[in-house]
Amino acid sequence: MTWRDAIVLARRSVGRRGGRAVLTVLSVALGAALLSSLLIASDSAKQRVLDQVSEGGPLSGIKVDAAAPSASALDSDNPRPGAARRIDDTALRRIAGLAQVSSVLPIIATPIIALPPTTLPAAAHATSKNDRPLFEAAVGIDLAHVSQLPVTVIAGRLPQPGSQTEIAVTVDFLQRLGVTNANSKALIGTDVMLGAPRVFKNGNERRNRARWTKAEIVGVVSQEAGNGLFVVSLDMARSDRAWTAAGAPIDGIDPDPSEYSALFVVAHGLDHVTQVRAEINGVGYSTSAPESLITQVQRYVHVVELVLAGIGSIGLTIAALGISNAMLAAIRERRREIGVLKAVGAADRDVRRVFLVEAGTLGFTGGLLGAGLGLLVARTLAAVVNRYLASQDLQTVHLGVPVALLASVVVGATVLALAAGTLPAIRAARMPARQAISDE
Amino acid sequence: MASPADVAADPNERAGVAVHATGLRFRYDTPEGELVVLDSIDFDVDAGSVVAITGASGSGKTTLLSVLGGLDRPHGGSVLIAGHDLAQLDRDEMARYRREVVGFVFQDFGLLGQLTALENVELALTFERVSRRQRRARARELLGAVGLGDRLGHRPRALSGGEKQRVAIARALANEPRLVLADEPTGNLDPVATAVVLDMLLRVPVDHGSTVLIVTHDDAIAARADRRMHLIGGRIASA
Amino acid sequence: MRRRRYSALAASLAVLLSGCSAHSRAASVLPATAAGPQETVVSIGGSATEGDGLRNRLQEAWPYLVFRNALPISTVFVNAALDDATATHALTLQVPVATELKPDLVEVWLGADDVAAATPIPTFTTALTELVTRLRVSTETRVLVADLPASFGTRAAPYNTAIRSVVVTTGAELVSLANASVTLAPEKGFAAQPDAAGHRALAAAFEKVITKSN
Repeated sequence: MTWRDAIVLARRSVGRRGGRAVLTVLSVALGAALLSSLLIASDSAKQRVLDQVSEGGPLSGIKVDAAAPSASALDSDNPRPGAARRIDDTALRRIAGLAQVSSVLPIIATPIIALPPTTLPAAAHATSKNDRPLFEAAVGIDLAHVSQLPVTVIAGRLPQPGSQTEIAVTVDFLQRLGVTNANSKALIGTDVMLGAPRVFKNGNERRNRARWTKAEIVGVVSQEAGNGLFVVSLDMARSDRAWTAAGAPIDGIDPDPSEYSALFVVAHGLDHVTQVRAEINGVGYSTSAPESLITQVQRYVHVVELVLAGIGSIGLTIAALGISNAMLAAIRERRREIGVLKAVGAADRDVRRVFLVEAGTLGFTGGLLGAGLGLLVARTLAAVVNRYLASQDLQTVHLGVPVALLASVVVGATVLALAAGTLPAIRAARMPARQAISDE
Repeated sequence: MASPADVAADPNERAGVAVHATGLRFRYDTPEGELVVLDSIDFDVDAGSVVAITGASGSGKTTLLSVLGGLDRPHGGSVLIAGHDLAQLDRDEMARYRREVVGFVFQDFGLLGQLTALENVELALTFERVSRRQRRARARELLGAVGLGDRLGHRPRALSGGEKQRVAIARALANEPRLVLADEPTGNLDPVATAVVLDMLLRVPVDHGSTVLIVTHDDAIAARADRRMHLIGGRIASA
Repeated sequence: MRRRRYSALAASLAVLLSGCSAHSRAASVLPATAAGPQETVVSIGGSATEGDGLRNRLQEAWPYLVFRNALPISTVFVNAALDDATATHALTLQVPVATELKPDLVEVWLGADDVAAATPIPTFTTALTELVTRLRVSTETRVLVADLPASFGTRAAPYNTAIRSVVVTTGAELVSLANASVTLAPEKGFAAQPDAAGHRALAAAFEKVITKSN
């Protein structure tokens, strides 16, 4: 008997006993739903925690400062940098050429004077006056490769790569204006005046003249790429920095001769972060990376994942036992049918195959339904949680569709059902062929 | 009368087979002790003949059919059919024997309720790894031959008793069996259906060359067989 | 009561689902801005142009008002003005800043500090002519020169005559403030400077010329 014939026969047999099949599938679906919703929740929690730790950037991200490494550079995730050291294109290329380095992105932080709009939209519900200039910094990043940087979009979007007229503002900027995260969207579309300062000296007299540009706020972000309230394109930061650097040193700000303020390096996986940091230190630059913290967090989260997966698996196992029980009962009822199958030539393996396929069909169907149900449950919970988070002015949760996880739940349910169906299938296969002709 | 040499002649030939049983014993183990159902019986059946097996309830006639069909293994003696000694076959060989040599017709039809008439007939070829197209063609042909060409898609519950038994006969013939075993084939049928089904069974040796053994209580049916084998208490009283 | 229970449930789920914090994509996302070519604008002037006397010069001084309200988003703007800048002063200290930027548009408002310093008219005329000529390094560069409004009194008249003649001889564009209501606010110990309303009037006058010629 081919697998295809066995599937057709099993499908018909399951369909004939609709009520029982529905109940059995439902029990598997509930078990699978419990497992998948717990796994989605734990996966989401893991992602959130790791996002928080890595500030939304890749877990294997390393920040390279424009400074020499200190003696204990590798003993800490965030060591104190040594003396200032210029980062130029040569250094960037050298670091990019190191083994196990996946990408290197330059960061340019530059001082900036910001003038927020004199009148903010009413929907922003700003609580602070905003008519004074803010003396802050803009952080220029490669906006074409933001996924490799510790930048998370909270509202709106990021500026277009190369744009001189679009910026994203940070949560700190919102706080300066007295705007909550929940109202941050109201700021999107408003204009800000940004001035790159430059000090002109005439004898002892110092005059500051800023190079002013206007920019539209297109998004709100959380970022750790550099210290500053504004995320801008590298081109914009470079123009502003060139203006500032051409002048005399600004009071209170160390002159920064470096071409780049910092680099953000991504290693080929968390396992290689220590090695890459050591090599960058060898090139002559101080590094920082939350590798120890991430490893510890991953360890703790893994324990939580195991516990939740265990709870879900218990549910699924109970459902699988239900399959076993239902099939044993079915075999008692179908002795005559088994006998007829054998009378018309079915070998033991054919009968075993039919019953295994039946069990697998129930498990697969239940797993599929359960995975969908689990996703629905997780999304419902996420909606409840998001309402709470929004009410507390916290950033909300985004649940994707974890296809691999859901597929593994379906596969798991099918495999468990097959395991549960093995004993009944063996028992059915061993039943005497005589059942076809007599109940003696 | 068949000789042992005849029954072992050519297991691949698609014609009726002779049956040669010697010292055939069968028993059931019951809580009260051993219950002998077939008590060292000897008999021969000629290839292509129709034999009626009669006897009172409990005389062992259904068990004899079960043993000859490879549904049960004899506990003693030998049964030679188509080159096989049924007492020596293991489970897989026994399944193969049933699949290739035997066709069954049951009193209560033995149709699977979840399958259509066409699929029930196809089922007999499913285990032979015959292609789906060939199976379907063969099943259509056989159902046409028993007058059910317009009932192919009907489930058993939508058929009358006589129609169900005609589907069962078509299924029994699907694998071109050399031995057709019928257990009270008209036991659940009205007189009209009985006549139709009996005519069909009696034509099997003529149309297909198979040997036919019919277990029956009905003397009228037994009278139409080539030969009658009467069992009393697990022994052949007359043959 | 029900609300509190709901909050407690949500809080406990939040611990599980949110970790510490999380993000979501905002529903409203702006389309990409189609910014035009970058244009550079420089303003040259004295105390008033720098915004002296205003509470918040970056928000209220006329060059910033023009920049914020009348110029495209792609504009780069530098206010090169300095306190007490006479035309001669501006030629020395402000023009180099402007020429470095290769401006597309220069807004000039000088004369007030020359009036205060009683700069001789020929000196003023020469310096202003030299200033405009050096700023117009390219025929593409627009140089807008404003005269002095009536609120500066009769002493301003010869300077206005000089300004108008320089505009004609150098091919600059005149921003006439003759009819502008540039009100002045007296400052203790210093010359009177335009108040916030005066700056709005100044900005309006410059905007009028900028947009008319565009």
